[in-house]
Amino acid sequence: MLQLTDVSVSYGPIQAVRNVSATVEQGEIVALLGPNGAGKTSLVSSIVGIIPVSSGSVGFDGEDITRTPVESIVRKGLTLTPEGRRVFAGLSVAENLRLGASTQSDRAAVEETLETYLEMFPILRERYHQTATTLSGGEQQMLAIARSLMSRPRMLMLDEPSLGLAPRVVERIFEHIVELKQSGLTMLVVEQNATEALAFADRAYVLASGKLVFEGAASELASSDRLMEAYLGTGVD
Amino acid sequence: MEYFVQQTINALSVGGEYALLALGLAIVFSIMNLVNFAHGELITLGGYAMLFSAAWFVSDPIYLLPICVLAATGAAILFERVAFRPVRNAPETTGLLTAFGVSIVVQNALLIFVATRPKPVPIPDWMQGTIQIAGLHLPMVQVLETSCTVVAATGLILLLTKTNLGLAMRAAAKDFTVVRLMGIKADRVILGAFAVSGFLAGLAAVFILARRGAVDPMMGFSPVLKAFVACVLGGFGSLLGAAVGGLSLGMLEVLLQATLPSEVAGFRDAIVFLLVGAVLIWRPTGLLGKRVELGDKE
Repeated sequence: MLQLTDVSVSYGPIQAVRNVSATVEQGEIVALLGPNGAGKTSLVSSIVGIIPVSSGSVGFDGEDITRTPVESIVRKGLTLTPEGRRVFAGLSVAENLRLGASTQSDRAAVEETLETYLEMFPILRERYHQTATTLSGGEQQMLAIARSLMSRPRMLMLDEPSLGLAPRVVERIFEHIVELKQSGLTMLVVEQNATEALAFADRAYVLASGKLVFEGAASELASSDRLMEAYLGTGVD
Repeated sequence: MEYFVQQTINALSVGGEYALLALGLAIVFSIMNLVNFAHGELITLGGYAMLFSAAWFVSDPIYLLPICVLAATGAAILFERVAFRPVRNAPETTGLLTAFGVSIVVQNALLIFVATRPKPVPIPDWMQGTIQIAGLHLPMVQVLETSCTVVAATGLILLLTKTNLGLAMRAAAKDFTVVRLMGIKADRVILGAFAVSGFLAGLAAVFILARRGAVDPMMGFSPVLKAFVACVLGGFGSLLGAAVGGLSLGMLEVLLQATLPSEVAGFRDAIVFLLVGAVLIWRPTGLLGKRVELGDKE
């Protein structure tokens, strides 16, 4: 569904991502792991067109989207829930969700989608008319995910959905990710929380200093202390 | 009593005019981080559109009023399309320089191709007269301007809260990247912001012209300066701040005008700016500005 071929991303003279080739197949959850500063956020931001790909190509559903503007990529069914949630402060939960549905013209379908996700995240229904800033971190993360889903994407990229959240809340977010996978959504999940991400991912890529250092089944990485230690520094504990 | 009411309506109309202009600056700034110093040229172009229309095909001056508003709106859209869109992703200073460039190009084009001296613009007679409300004689321009400001501000609030474009504009003021991640076209939001700013400038231009009765190529400078000061006073980027800043600035000017002894009346603007400076020492981010730590907004 998503094909990256030799993708590099640069900020001026600094190369944040170097020649990354990767794929995500329909229906999969793929984890993108790696330490802080490895280039994970740069990679997903460039895939969705927020920052330019400096070389290489990005394909979505067989179509080249390397130079396609963000808003058009989202309209094609690929979206990103950005790092740090970035809900619209000062706007209500309802307005945040309405903005998420901007690509949808069929009002009845929007209502239906809204109902689906208010069902999935009941706290959003409870806080529907409150401003987004009054929500807790976990609630804001749920809002950010629901907002992305309002555009009815076929593939969702989540950038650090567990960032800054308490372990119990992280667990709830991860449960929702599994729930979304069961509904048929394809996902690429960026995580620092490697052990837990590998529990629900099908495959994993590990990025270090902008380069891919591992790709393979999530179970293979998770079961190998040597690999976990080498790439993520979390193996033996 | 009559004097007091007259001065109040005068203060409201001047304040309203600054508020309209400041809102236009603020709405573009809030989304693009661009201080559009070519905003004053929208007023100028609205005025020249009136001048040309009157010379060519419009006989009744009442039709010149909507032409002025339309011309300013059109000019704002044109500025965005031709000048600001190509530098949208460039550093902020590039945008600022572009704005100065647009302003200089328009001023000089008018100087070269039209005239260097002021040209009279026909204004409907009834706008120059007075209107009697509850036994008080009030200048028509001021009453109209005050009510137009109220209507325009209400319209703006409705646009921002009730329409999808308005919602997108409010969201874009917070986080433009995420607005695009919602699949909303950046071009449309920015064009919308420019169109609104042009419309408000055109509205203000109608009254500026009704007061001065003539156009000249440099006429946009003083209003845009006042609008800029109003934005700074209210808190840059905040729409409410722009409205409050504009109103306060206009009312302050009229208050000083009415109370200063004639020997120092010439220093009115200097005193106004001194007071604005004092406010900024007390509140560096403006009356309604929020303190933003460096790095809060990416």
